[in-house]
Amino acid sequence: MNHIDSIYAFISLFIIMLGTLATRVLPALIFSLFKIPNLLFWLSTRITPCIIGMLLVYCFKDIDLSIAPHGAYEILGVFSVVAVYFMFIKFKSNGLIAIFLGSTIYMMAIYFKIFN
Amino acid sequence: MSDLQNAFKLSLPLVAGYIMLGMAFGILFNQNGFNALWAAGAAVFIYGGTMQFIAVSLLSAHEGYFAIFVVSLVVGFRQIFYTIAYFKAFQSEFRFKKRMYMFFALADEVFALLSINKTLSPNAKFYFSLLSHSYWILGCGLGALIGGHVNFDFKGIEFVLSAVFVVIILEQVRQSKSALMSSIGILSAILALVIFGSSNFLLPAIFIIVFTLFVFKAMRIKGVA
Repeated sequence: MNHIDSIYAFISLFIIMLGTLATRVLPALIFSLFKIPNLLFWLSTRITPCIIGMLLVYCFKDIDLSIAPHGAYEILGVFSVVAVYFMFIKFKSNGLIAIFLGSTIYMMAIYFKIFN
Repeated sequence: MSDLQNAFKLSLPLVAGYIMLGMAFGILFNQNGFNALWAAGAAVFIYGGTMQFIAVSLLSAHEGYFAIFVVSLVVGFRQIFYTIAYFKAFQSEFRFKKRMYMFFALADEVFALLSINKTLSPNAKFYFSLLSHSYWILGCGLGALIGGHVNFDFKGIEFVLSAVFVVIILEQVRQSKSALMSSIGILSAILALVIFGSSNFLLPAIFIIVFTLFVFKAMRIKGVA
């Protein structure tokens, strides 16, 4: 431990663990004790696909469209995933194939700097 | 196929994604003076890419304990909605201890992958969560072991996790034959990103999503209400 005092680091990480448990496990405990309000239950049956859409945007949050290459690599990557997904639509594992082929295309594009 | 095989198959996209991203964290953590035990410990007990990376900058800035606690709550806030979304299902599928672990281990990608695989048995879901968590621990530990010694270049590997979300959205749209819900999520997030900037838009995004859903419900729009 050269750079950061280890006792401080341990306490800090412990606090982060508590914060994590407070958001992940505490709500479940509370809902086990009290009945979930109807409106909240309704929300729970609708919100999942919305949150996944949000997480997709989260993946690309740090891309600056105003500077070159204007997110071209990510557009190519997402396009490749979608294209491969539909190309292999008859296969059961088309999703998996799309993830790996799409990512490979993205990484190759970055490696060969095709948009720079 | 056995439960474990099913779980492993579902976890395949995370093998590469979690191990590589975990390694990136481990290397960074190691450069700040922490060994593999610390990195693996963080992976076991915190288990969140975003929070762990933020933790490194908080620690190196010698941030105060209270501020650290508040940041961990803000970063983890979306988890409350993951819990709401899976509460009924997990309640009937798992006994108390396993259930609490399932909620703890609902990382973004785990949450998303479980949503399109509703036929998975409870046991397979549990194995899937456990496997995904293990990949993350393995990645973080390995990264700290390697540290700055090996210069490896897997630039762009984090795209695997973005691709996971793309495929899940495609599956979801095909299963429900509607792109409405995914679009609400994507557009709300873009709106929040534009207004609040990239470092703190998740919370407002969730509120815009919830607000939109309630408005659509009140308007009795098909597919929402």
